[in-house]
Amino acid sequence: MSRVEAELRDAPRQSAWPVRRPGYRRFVRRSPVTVIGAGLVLAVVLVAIVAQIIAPYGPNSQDAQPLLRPDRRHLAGTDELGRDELSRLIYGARVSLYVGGLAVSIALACGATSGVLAGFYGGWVDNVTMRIMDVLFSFPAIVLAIAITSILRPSLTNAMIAIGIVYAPIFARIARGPTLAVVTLAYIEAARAVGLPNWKIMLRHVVPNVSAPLIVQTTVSLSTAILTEAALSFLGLGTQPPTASWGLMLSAARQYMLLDPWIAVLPGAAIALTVLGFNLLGDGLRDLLDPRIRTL
Amino acid sequence: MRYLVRRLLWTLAALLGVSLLIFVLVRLIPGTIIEVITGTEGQLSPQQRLDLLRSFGLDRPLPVQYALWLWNMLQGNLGWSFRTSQPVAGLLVSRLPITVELAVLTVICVTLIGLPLGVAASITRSVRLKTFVQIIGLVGLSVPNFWAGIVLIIVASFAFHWFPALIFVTPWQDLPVNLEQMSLPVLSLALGLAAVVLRMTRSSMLEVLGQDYVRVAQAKGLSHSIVLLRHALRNALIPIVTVLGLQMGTLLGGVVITEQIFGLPGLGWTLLNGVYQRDYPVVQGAVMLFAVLFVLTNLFVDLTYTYLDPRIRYQ
Amino acid sequence: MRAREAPRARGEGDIVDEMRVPNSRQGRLSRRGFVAGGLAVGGGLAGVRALGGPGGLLAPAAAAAAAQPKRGGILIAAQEIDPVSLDPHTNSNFSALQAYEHIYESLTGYDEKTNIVPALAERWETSNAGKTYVFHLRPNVKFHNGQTMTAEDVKYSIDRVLDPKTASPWRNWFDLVQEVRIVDPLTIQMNLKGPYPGLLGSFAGMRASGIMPKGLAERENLKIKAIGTGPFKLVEFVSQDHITYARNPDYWNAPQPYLDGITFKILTEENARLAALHAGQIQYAVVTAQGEAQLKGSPGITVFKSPNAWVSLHYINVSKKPLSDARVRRAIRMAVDTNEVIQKAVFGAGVPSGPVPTGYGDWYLDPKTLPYQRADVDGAKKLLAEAGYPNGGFRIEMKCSPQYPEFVASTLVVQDSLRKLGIDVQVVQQEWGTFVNDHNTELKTGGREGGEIFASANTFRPDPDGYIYPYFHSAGALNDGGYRNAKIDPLMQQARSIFNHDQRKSLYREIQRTLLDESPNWWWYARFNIEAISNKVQGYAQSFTGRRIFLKKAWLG
Repeated sequence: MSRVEAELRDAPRQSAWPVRRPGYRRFVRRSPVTVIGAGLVLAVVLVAIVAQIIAPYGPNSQDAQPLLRPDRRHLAGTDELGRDELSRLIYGARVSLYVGGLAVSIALACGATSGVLAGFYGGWVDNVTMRIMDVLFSFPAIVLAIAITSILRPSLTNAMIAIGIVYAPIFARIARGPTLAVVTLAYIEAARAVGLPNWKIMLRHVVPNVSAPLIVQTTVSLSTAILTEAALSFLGLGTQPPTASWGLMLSAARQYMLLDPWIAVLPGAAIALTVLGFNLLGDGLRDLLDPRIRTL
Repeated sequence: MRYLVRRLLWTLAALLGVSLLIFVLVRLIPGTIIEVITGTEGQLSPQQRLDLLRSFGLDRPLPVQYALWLWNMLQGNLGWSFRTSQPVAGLLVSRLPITVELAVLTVICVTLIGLPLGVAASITRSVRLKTFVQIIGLVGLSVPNFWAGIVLIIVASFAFHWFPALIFVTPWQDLPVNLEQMSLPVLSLALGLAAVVLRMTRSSMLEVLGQDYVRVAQAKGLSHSIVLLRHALRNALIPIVTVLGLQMGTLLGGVVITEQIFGLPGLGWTLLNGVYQRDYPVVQGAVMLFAVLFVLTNLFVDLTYTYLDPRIRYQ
Repeated sequence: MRAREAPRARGEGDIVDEMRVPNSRQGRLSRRGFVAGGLAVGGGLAGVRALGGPGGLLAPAAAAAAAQPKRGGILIAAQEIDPVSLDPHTNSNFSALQAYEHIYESLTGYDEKTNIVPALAERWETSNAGKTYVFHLRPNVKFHNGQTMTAEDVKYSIDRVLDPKTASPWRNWFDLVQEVRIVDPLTIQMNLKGPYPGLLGSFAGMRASGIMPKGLAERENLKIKAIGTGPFKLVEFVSQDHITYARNPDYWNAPQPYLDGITFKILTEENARLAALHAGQIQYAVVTAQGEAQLKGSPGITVFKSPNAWVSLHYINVSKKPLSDARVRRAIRMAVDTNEVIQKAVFGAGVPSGPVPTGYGDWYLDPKTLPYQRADVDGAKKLLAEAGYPNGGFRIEMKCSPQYPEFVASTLVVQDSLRKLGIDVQVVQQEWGTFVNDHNTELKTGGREGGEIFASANTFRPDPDGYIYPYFHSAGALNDGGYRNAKIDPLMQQARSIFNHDQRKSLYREIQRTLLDESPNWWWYARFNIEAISNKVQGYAQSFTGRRIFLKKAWLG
């Protein structure tokens, strides 16, 4: 392939957003997974928003007998402390979204900006930044999470900050790639020659090319953040009781797996569906925005 | 060659960073080995606490402790465990093979599941099949690691009345029993990662299949499978190998909880216990070992790149 | 309401425990009804009059010795927590004790009813108003390395514990020992600073009293190596993974032990232990009540269940308002239903308890007479109002650790119950090391920093004094926040220095009543010790201490 063709192939678009794409309906038919994914995510978001309206009880009131099977008054039964399972599942949606949102926000803020800056300025900035990211990345995530949550006051927020820091390197790497590709192109030099300040260059040329892969990675990381919160809750370092988070509910239900599988299956299913939703959405978005995007 | 040297130097810098980070981090966690020794019921006088601290070398100023540790580490001495007074290097070396076996078996399992499914999902024309495979693959990814492990344990025992022998045997001592012991942990880890590989295979196959040279090969009259294997798959392997390399980090993390649940005496469980019991030498040593493993895996991955795609050459 | 039946002795393989958990299959009970159900405590709390030992509540479930014990076989068992180290003098954690108790022994020991019996000392005499003890050692006892035990070894071992450099966390049990003198190779004399009725129990308790060959600590790494006189020798200790023991053929108490060996695999995840039991891969494991319920259908497994010296409680830092006011503490305790705590924390496998665990000789208060069994929210509100907090309106922080889920559960029950009083409880769940650290900080700073309330438990103490003095005497080393009650201070001092059983008993009764009234701690329940054992294992008996003392009597049928 000639150099010109290669460059044309790699030439960044002016805008990452699909301006003129044929037939969304065709897209839906060709890729039902995206729609399913979007639907699941939307459902979770809605439940989280109207939690207080639709939940029959508060999430923490131990007003009933423990381990009840589902019945008229408790549609999903009660958990090991006598709290309504359905209400806890509903409120759990809030926690899951909070968890994912916070972790990913931090990862974006720290990681993506570092990656862009590293790719843009190159040289020792690039080297140092990426080495720091390497250090974070080769550090066992679970140890980092344990350390941070033990050092700071144990809380869900701090656990998610830890997760955000752990995810930052991924975002850095994803942001750096397209940035590098853009920076080497001729018209960037031209822009600089004309006198355009760096931040404007970044905004106008780098960001549009970086946003697509970042969006896809965001959906993926939202899902893994939820799984990681479950793992941390298993270790006792994630959600603080009595907060209703699906991960904590799952962890607490471990003791009752054969006695009352309900309280284990339901939060597990909730996690699975939410994570599935984000993943499918991410897949679909990738197909939609740019099939050449690689995610991690 | 010059690339390799430069790469190595930067890697060493990164490892130095890791060492500093873990050294500081583990000392920031509240509580020391003294608290682990006394628990909530034991009593020690303040003088005794001081003496104990001194015996562990924890009374020296931090930079001194760090320098000593680094100096010893470069000579291959990772210190002695606070809890058992055993040499850390020996302890970690004895635990390492278990974790490595777990990781390697998982990668094999994941590739055997994810790769074919991903290829299938990319070449099939049936939308239904594509959707089905995607969702099935992703379900595995959607379940927390520890939960998959526990469910497998319960199902194996209470539904099939089966459970592997408890005392761990190495593959050299008794291969069938060893594989039995590894089967459930590997399965619980593989479920999640298989989906990632599936996804990556599918998307990179899709991209490669759309390329001109594939169409040229087809036009030349090469059979479908040769086209697939020789050209498409080989180029599609690059991102897959990347993913596997990067997933090593996740894998080594997931290994920690899996080892705890299944009682496998591996590096992850040793590390976790070390953190709980504030056994600084063990934690520091284990993290460095993890980091080295991770870095080596990445290096291997990058070198595999050059083999898979001759266009990629590093200046 | 289904009454709780007392644990029966094991018969033809039937399940010992009959405690049913109320569940919806038996009809939906109102919350009040469900809670009252567990109240009935099995009758016949036969407190065994102990001769210097606490004695058990009921004879812990033991096998009816039908057949003759057979030699041979290796028992594979599961252990829930890593022992960390095998040194019998420098460890404070219970799991270490469970690991080295098969290897080491001391001058005295316990029988099935937790009475003190001779072990390495055949007999003893006291003189000088209880300040001098002379122990006559058993002749021809061999250590695992072939050496014969003499008074030199005993003196060495006890001196090691007394030596402050050893930093033994349980040295305070031997605080009053002034010196140990060798009279002749089989006789040891101990001079105490003052009379201490708990001395014999301190040896039997095995926390810091294991006898080892002279000079062993200087020759070997005792954290992973062990040489003692016990029924089993240490073969191998792979930290965090497993411990293997082999039969001691020269054990002094022949024909014990019968097992050729024992292997304890460390499995922290209970589901894994249950699965291994069910599939027959292990023959012994400690399980929770929830685990026991899940094993109900498992063939070939019997569950042993009996009371245990494990008192679940909350330590309270009484140095700051509002918890410095006894009325507030009492009000909070009144508002929480004890049986609800028992049901939710340990799935019903517990008995309400005061400071001395229920079942401990005859030192404990009859649980039927304990206050606070039913929640009294109105009374609590009145009391709070009296203390100046009519609608609560303050916030307290309770710390717990997921290392012990039952404490988390009990703390959550307290939190929920206090909502009715208008008290805001913040639950702080901490990793165990951090929890211990905070608690120690609180002790060190006299309550200024570290925390307000800590959820924990007291394990077996050889003497009731161990549950009282360190925590509530003004000079006690584990006194949270400096609790001081001028009335019972001298009573505590007196009770730990006289020998008359009845006098001590009435003293401790009064002390406990006062403590319950003032509530410097909140005591909830004494937990049951639940052990699931394969039917192939015969001859095993539980111990009130929670230890596995009688594996030496077990044999594989």
